Formats: sequence, C-alpha cells, structure tokens
Amino acid sequence: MLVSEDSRRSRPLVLYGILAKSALSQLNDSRKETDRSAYFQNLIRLIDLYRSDVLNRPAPKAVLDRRPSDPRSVLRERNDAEAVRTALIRAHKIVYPSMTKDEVVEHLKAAFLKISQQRIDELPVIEVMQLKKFLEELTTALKTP
Amino acid sequence: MFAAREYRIQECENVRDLLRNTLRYAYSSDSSKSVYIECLARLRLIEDAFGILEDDEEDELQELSNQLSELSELIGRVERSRIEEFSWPFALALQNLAVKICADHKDPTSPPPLFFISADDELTSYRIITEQGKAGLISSPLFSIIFPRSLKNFVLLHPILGHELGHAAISAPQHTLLLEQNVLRPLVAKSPLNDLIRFKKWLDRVNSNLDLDLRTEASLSWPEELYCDLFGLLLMGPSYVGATNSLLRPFKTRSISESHPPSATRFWVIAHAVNQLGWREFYAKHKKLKQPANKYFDSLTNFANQVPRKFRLLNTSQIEIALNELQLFLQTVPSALFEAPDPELVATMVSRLLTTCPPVASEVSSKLTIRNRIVDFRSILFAGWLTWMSTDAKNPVPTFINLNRLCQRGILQQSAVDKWSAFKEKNNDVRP
Repeated sequence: MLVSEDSRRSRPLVLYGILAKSALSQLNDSRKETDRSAYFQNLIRLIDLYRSDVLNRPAPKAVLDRRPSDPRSVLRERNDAEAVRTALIRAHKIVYPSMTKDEVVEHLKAAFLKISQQRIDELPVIEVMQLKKFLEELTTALKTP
Repeated sequence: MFAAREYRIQECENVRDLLRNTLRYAYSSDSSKSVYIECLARLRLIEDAFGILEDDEEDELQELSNQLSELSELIGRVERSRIEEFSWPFALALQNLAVKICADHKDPTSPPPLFFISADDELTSYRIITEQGKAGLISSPLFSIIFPRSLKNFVLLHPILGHELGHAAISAPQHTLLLEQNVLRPLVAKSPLNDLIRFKKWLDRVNSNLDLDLRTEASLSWPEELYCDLFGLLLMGPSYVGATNSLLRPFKTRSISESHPPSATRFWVIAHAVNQLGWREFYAKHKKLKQPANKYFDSLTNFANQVPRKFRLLNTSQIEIALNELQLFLQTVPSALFEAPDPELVATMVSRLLTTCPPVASEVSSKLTIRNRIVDFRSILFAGWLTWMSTDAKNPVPTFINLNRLCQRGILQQSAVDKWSAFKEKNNDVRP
C-alpha cells in the first residue's frame, strides 16, 4: 500500500471544517456565478445531526460483517465526533449566546435553507453577518491541532 | 515531477475522465443518469474546495484527496454494476419501499435520495449504505443497495436487507429524533444497555474479551442493531425470520463484537416480537398451513428458548412498547408496514410452488378475460418459506434454488401487474 490505512480514512472533523470554510467563501464572494447550494444543504444535515445528538453514533457495519474494528481508529473517530460537537457548541455560544440549542438549530436551518434556495436577499444584513461569524468560528474550532 | 497542488488538479482531471468513460455503457438502473450528474456535482465541489485551501493546510488537502478517492471508487462501482449480478425484481421492490420510508415528503426542497444497486463479491456483503445522515461534499444523498453476487437468485434470503433499511430510516434527519425517542430508548430502557457501568459489568459476566476501548462503542451500536431487527421484521414480515435464521446461525451465536449484539440475544428478541405479532397462530389455524407454519416458527422459538438467561439482555415489556411504537411509525408510511395476507392466499401460493409453478399468475377465462390480483412481494416470500418447510407427501418440495427462482418470477409478475394496474388507472381504462 502506498500510504498508511489511517491517512486514507476520511475524517468528518476535517471534512466539516472544509464544508464550513467553503460555505463561508461562498457567502463572502457574491460574484461567484456557480450554484453551490449543496454546501448549505450539507450544513443543514450537520445541524440536524447536532440537534439529534447523534454525531457520536458509530457508522453501522453491514449486517453480516464480523470483522473486528481497530480500537485506535474507533477511539480517533469518537474523539473527532466529540470535537465536532464541541466546535458546534462553541460557535453557538459565541455567536448566538441568548438562544437555546433548539432555537439556534431552527434559526440556522431556516437561514441556510434560504441561502441554498438563492433567497439570501430575504435575510437582514445583520443576520448574514452573524452567519458569517458562525461559519468563521466553526472553521476555526474544527481546525485539527 | 508534480507539485502537490498540481498533482491534485491532475487527479481531478483523471477522475473526470473516468466519469466520462462511464457514459459508454448501458446500466441497469433508470437512475444512472442522476447518479452520473451527482458524481459530476461532487467532483466540482471537491475542485472548488481545493481552490480555497492554502498549501500548508495538509489535513484538509489530504481529506480532499480521500474524498476524491471515494468518488473514484463510487464511479468504479457504477461502471461495474451489472443487472445480471443481482435479483433486480427484488431490488426494485425494495427500492420502492426505501423511497417511501426515506424521502423527506414534508420538505420538498430537500434533495431526493438517489438509488444505486450493485453486487459485491464478498459472501457477506448484504448492505445499504446511506448518506442521508451524513454531511460532506455531496449534492444529493445516495443510497447504495449491495447484494452478495453469489446469492443472486436467493430472494428468500434478501429480506435481511429490511434490517439495513432500519439503519437508513433512523439516519434520515426527518425520522432520527422520533425513532430515537419513541423506539430506540424505550427498547433498551431498564436494561444494561441503558447504563454504561451496568453494561460493562454485563460484558464481564458473559466473559467478553472485548477490548476496553471498544466497550463504549458496543453500548452505542447495539441498541440500533436491535431496533433494526424489529424494523426488518415489521417491514419484511415473517420472511425476515427465515432470512436471519439462515444467515446469522452460521456465526457463533454467543460471540461478542463491538458492532453487533450476540446472535443469541438477537434471536431471543426477534422470537419475542414474533410471538407478540401472533403470526404463527394466524397461519397455523389454516389446515394446509398448520404443519409448515408450526415448523417455520418453531425453529426460531426452540432456539430462542435455549438462549441462556444472561443473554436475554432486554426487558420483555420494553420490547413490546418499542414494537408498538415502531408499528405506529410504519403505519404513517404508505404500504411500509407488512400486512399479514389472507391465509387462503398464502395456501394457494404454497400449493402452486409445490407443483413448481410461480406463486402468482394472471387468470384467463374462457372468454379471454384477464383477472389479476395484487399480491405484495413480501407475501410471496413468506409463501416461499412455508413451501420450504412443507412435508407434502404428494409433491416433493423443489430444491431451494428452484424455489427462490419461482418466487423471483412471482415478484417479477407482480411488478408487471402493478405497472399494468397503474397504467390502467392513469388512463381511466375500463377494459378488463
């Protein structure tokens, strides 16, 4: 094998960081002509995972798959999932300190949905600024040490 | 020599070429065009993301390479998907169920799930990979339904995929909270699975040698696996019993893994649920079905009765609560909950199968009037299993492979009948 098995495995922690950064870049550059609503649809899915508190749920194995897992990767995945949860809580507390978890989930989902439908004009400027701040905080918090 | 960034751009180009090449072939699924468009959209998202990263963001660049590699694997699977390698009548029937369960009907803006069906070489490859509960560089979430290639015609074993649809349902954002609160938590309430300290003690009591780091993993994975067995049972009906019994029994029934509870525990839970559903009593009342129905359900009950007390991990009244809640959930999805067919219909299908005829057929009268009957594919599978359990002195039971082929024909026939009925309804055709 050319590189180690570990480095070939996708890391949601890093992937969500890229997602937040890409969405932020999309918001910052309104001249971009291409439709990248997928970023915001994916952020909605991430927020849903946060709402249901299932970020740390292990990905199920196939029903007949009995190959043992590697404890090191299991541990890393668990730590990564916890880091994603912590990053979301951190960004929530910094940008929307007065909102509860349910309120922030509903607020973000509604805003991301509008953006994904190219209806960003319907959002007040202050709200767009808050969204940018949220994505900035999330990107920073998801940076691997 | 390439600089790192240049090489990655080249890799994106290579994957684009791979994708372009897939256009040369004809595919089984009518969704192949949508899958092609989705792959192209993912490639563009990856390319865009490469564009915003700095050269020193090594983890991120590595992650994008991994995403590109996963996309390349997906394209490879699309290219190698062959209709001859899996039972497509069953696959399409399953896909119809999956669409109803997993599409977000309440939110029309959410992208519809795409389906992709393929066969894998591993004997244990039964799987549904779902991306609905996953965020990433994807445009529309993809459902990959995977069959073991060697079991192509064995439709009587395929109901095990009902378990996998359970995972798909709970990962769909619109269902996660509801299934979590109404089914999964009640299912494990009052059991060691509800309390990590108790669970770890239980693992010691059954002499588990599970690695310490994997014990927490097991406590998180097992509840969902047990819920999925109930889901598979209620979705696929009694044929789920035959499929799981046949496919799980060869594994050590008391072995502990971090991903799945011991099969002994699972069979005991399934047996308790089957008992609650009353299928045995319902079918054993029919004269022609008494023997096969008793034999069929006995094989599960007898095994479950031998499961040592310490492996009976859940509280029985909690299983019943979860089962009821899951029934309520499935009732909200049109045609998802298995409805026990009339025993007379099942007996007719068994009789036909025993004479090596497909279980269902159109009736043509002397005046050439055609009469079709709508039969759910899950009822056909149940009839197939009861036929396999029959000890009919007059008609020897067909071989298992032939029985499977006959049932597959039945499913195909029914899908044609469904299409014909839908066509007639749409065109307001009153001809018989």
